[in-house]
Amino acid sequence: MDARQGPLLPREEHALVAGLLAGDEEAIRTLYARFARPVYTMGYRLLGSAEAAEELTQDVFLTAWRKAAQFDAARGRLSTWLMTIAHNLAVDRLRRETGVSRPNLVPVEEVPEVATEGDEEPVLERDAAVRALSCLSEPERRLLARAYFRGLTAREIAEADGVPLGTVKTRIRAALIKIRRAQLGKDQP
Amino acid sequence: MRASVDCLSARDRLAEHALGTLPGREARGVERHLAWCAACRKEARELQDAAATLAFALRPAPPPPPTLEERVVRSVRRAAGRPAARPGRAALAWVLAAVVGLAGLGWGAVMAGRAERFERAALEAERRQDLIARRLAALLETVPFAGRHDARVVQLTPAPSAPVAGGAVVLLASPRRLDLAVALLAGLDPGDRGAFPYRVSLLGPRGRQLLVARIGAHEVGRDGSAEEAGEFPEDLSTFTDVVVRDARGAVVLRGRVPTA
Repeated sequence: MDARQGPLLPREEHALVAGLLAGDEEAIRTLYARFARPVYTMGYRLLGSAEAAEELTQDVFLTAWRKAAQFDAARGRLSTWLMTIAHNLAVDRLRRETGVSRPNLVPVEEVPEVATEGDEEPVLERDAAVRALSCLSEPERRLLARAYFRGLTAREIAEADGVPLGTVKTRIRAALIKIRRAQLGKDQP
Repeated sequence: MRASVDCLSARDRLAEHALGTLPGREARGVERHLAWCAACRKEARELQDAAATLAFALRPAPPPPPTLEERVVRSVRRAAGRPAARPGRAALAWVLAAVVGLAGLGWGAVMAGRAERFERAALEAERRQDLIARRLAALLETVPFAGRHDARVVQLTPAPSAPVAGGAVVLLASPRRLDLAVALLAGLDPGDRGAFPYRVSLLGPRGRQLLVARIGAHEVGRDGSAEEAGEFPEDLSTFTDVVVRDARGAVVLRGRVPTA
């Protein structure tokens, strides 16, 4: 199973996670080859140092091992599951270190940066992500970035922007649905 | 009392749930709902896929160091380890005694020397030494080793004016499995960001060097101590010395591996 070619089938995802649970070296290395880079990038960008990124990467794989029995490919993709673990751990660490309930993760200007064609080192998941995000308008990308990377709740965004809470919720939801449609290759409504 | 969440209110929160910004109590309510509602679960999954896209689209960081893969593989394999033979009580007691009881050597002597002048420092030294012993005992409960002849305890002596109070490294040799090194450092100041990570290395003949532990600031407990264990394919019994360097490269602790 080449680490960087083609999406994984659910049964392949199950096999990899079962291998992870059993401590199978080949499964761990395959998962690492596929997902370590985006996990490390999240740590690097959100936590701000290579050292923290390394620690986060180790923690993500260990947490995935601990939770492996709960993984169900029928209920979610492996990539989503791992990145959710990474996001949660990164946010938890920031909250712990800064002692605040709402971390200031990264400047909005930093994320997410949509790459151009010919960007260095194409990675399967990243290419697809960049393509999917290109469907969003700039305000939509900034809105999602404020929530996902800065940890702002819909209420906090609504108060900061002077916009009704319901409007912010609707916009967040609409933006996520646009990404989802782009992922599935569907036309925008 | 658990809040009841129906489909309408769950769906109102799914987007925020996917982004990880839903406050804890609301998130728990949504998760309880998702546990039994397949329709909302399907929508939640789709929104989570979309949210994860944000993470994948980040501008790539510089490549991680090549050693990270080995550390990940090692730590997961260790966590998933086959049923480990628990150390015999006698062997465990011997290792602990070696850590606690080397009063005439290593950092015990250094701290005792200081104690003549600083009673408080002496109490602190005792407390840290006791702490190391307790943490080591907890660690050794989880790793396989057959007996005292497999274990070597290296007491680490602080360099003059080193910001680290002390530590110990235990090397456990195994004829069948990978050798194991357990490093414990005490008296660490997590606020001294420039000092982290501390690197614990074994030194051998002809300049051989093996990094056995890398301790970051976040690993330091409230008590100022941290430990790391790792398995290695190398024969650890061939190494003669241990050094601990801070991130600036300064040697803060060192010790000599006792001969068998």
